[in-house]
Amino acid sequence: MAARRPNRENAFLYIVPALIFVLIAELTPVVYTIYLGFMEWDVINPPKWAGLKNYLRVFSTPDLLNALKNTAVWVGGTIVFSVGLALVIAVLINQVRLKSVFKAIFFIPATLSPTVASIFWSRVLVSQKGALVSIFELFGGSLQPLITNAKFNTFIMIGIWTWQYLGINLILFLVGLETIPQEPIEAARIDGANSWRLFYHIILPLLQPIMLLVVANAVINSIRMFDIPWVMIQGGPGRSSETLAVSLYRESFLLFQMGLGSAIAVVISAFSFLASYRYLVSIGGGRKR
Amino acid sequence: MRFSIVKAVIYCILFALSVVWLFPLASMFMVIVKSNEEFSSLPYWGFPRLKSFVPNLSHNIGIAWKKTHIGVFFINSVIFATLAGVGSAFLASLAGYALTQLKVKTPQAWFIGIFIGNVFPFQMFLIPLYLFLNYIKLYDTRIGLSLVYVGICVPFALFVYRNYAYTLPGELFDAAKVDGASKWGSYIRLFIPMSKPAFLVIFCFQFIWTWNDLIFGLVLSERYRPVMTSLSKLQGQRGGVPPPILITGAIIASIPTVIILLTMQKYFVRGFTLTIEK
Repeated sequence: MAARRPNRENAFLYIVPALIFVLIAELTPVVYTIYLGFMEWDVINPPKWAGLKNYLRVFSTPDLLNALKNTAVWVGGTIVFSVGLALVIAVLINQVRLKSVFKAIFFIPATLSPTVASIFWSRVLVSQKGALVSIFELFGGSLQPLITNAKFNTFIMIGIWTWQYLGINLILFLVGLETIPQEPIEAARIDGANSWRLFYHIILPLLQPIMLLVVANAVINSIRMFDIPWVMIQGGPGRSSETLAVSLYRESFLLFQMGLGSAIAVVISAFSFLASYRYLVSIGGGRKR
Repeated sequence: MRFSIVKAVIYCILFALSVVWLFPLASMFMVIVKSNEEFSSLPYWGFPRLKSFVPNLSHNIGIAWKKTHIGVFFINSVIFATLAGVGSAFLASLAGYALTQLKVKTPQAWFIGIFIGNVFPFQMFLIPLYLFLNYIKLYDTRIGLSLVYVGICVPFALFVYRNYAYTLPGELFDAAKVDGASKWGSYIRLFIPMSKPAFLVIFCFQFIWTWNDLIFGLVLSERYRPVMTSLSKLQGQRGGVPPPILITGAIIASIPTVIILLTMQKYFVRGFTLTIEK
């Protein structure tokens, strides 16, 4: 018995380094952010208790309500375009030859970072003297720089995100389509099901696990969307295209409202949890041994 | 007959979408082969003389690398992303080994305790990490940012190792123990070599994530920026950096992730699908 004890301590030592890193980089910050969410703090003066004031501000300040709205638009737009279009393309690609060529074409932008994609698009495609504007002018038309239009620049950015990220969703759907069992499809086909019924009643349900992954991933990514609105136009013009993540950055690190920034972080987390609850349960449980 | 019409329509749709997807890349090319003067004097789709393509491009690369300091930031990012990939994999392999092959009490609880870090959005960590790094005087240092990146990457890395380690034959480790191998010996000689695929998934995934990260670099560094953060700053200075230089810099900054995704795509995709494998 005496010989086993050092063994057990020994085993625990293997976990300690990972635990320390996670404690410092993640777990303590989470607790501290929740605490700061209840405080009013400008970094210079000592923090003051603010109760739920920061949370009330998140849901009442026009700029932040607008950020909430933009974030919701991002979530909806991403599901329709980045996920929906990827599914359509995956199903179409599965019908043709040249499968790997098309797959590669749609995947190329996914090898770039959102920052790089934003720079490409803002400098080259939608700027004053850009590629798209030039083509319009070639045909005698004119195109205002779309990105500075507060009415629809969020939609333009969702389009850019779709261009950049669709390839990853596409590849995941193709993996899903390759791994679904063929027997039910064959059986339905023999029974005379048409393509649409086949897709809707047989293929889509079989794709469910991959669907859950792709949708959860898309929703989480868009709830936290920062890179594209920030690099394209810094949440502007004004604060019109800010997402919650951009507002958080502005409030905390440009306006030094650490309490308000923390409250926004908690709100982002809460939405992430709500959106990915099923997905988290399915992976958090992990595999039973 | 109907069948082939459907096929033709599918091809048309795919070709049209391919054009949309390739158009931005083609327009990149029009920018990086021009000098700054040619970019402002020629129309966007106007070609410079064929002879000047290569000299223009190499000139743009030189200016982007040295004058805008993309080179320095590139090296910073190589350090951050490599350390994040290798470091988090190392820490997670130790913990994953202990949780699956050694007799640790309540392994599930320890796993969840570490993995929960992956559940929160990064925004939850930003403000405290900024304050903490300032407090311990590691704000705007390569060490500070490296430690943060490694820490952020650990939970997912542990997830990968734990899932993978369950597929390893436990008898092998039992046999090694009977033969008198120490815990460390089994880790080095059995666990590490056998879990190479897990390492590749983690390295690929976390290297790319760290390389592409913008927000941590923005919040936690000034001079020792990662490359994406520095690009976003150059983009922010309107009119400061001419498009040919900026776009060339952005392309240089994309080379590592392009290479990794073209050669190791399998492992990258595994990083996603692993979460739904049972």
